[in-house]
Amino acid sequence: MRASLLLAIQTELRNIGASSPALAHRARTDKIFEVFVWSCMLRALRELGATLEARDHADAPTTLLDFRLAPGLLYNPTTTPGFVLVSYEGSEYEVHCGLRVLGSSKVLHELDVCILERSHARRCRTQRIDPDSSGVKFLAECKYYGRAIPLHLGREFLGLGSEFSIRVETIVANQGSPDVHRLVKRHRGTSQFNLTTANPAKIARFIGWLSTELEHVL
Amino acid sequence: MNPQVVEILKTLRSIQLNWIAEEIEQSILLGKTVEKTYREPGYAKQRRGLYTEAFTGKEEMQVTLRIIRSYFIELHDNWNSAVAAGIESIGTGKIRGRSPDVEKRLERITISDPNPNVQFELFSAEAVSHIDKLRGFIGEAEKEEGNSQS
Repeated sequence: MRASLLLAIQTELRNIGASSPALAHRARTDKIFEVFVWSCMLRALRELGATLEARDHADAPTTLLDFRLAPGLLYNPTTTPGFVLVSYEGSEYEVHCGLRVLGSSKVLHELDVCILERSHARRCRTQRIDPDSSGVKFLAECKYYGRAIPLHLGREFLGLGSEFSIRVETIVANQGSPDVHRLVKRHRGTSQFNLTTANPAKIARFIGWLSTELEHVL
Repeated sequence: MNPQVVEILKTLRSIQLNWIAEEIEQSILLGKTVEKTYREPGYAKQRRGLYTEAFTGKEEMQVTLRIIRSYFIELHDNWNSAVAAGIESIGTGKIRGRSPDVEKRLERITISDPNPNVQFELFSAEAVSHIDKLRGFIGEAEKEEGNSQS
């Protein structure tokens, strides 16, 4: 590489580092990707003809959706993120991003993107209890990396999947990983890799896949 | 290691982005998986296997540019896409079945820190202008280094 080009890249890296807090912690890059996957979920729901409405942490209509960097508890206003209320074929659901839900072992797990049955979520808010796996219709584990995602994330996803006996659970990443794909596929999970705006065809396929799967579970 | 990669790692560490520098270093240390054919003594048939080989200096730079593109450019593109798609998907109109009718509209999507004392704007206007400049430079570098993902 030309020395002048290297210098220009270094200068812009410094400038971005100084002016963009998005990169300060990995938690922020992961959260941005979760919101990206969440937006794909909304597009898939719209393709199905669902009606969507933004709600704040108190379950009131809102024009501002705020997601939190830390996982939220459904009944705790200081940690609960906003969510989207979904009306589809006479039933209601909630799409959440970064919510803590009890697995079948009664251990709390953070679900990066999930769909809850509305009646289950409302009961949990009213009673101030954590949602459990029985109310979960869909979950996606989201990973943002600069390189192929490490194998241990595939193992962690399998552990999470065993806590939620549902039809649709998937690991989504902006990068690919043949090893994680093989591992997850072997254990009947699904992986959706290389999901990034740089790959619009993949995004279209992902939204199409989501629509098909959601049509079966909602 | 490629000396220019070492320079980029130093830059990342100087702006407290050690975690990105470490991801680049680890990716380079892992090397690449390569297929080879071999023949067992006493067997005529060729077999295929995989082994791990170190990256060349040029490939080390390609790995570095790819990771920089992911974090410094594509992350911002993904965020813009998410906000636009989220607002468009929610749409506008009256919320049915409520009395009185409620006008729905999503105007903003934000990410906040659990600590209310920590406030930040993910991508300031200044950051976006530098991201655009970097996009051009990384594209040029990928052409020079032979990265097919430019």
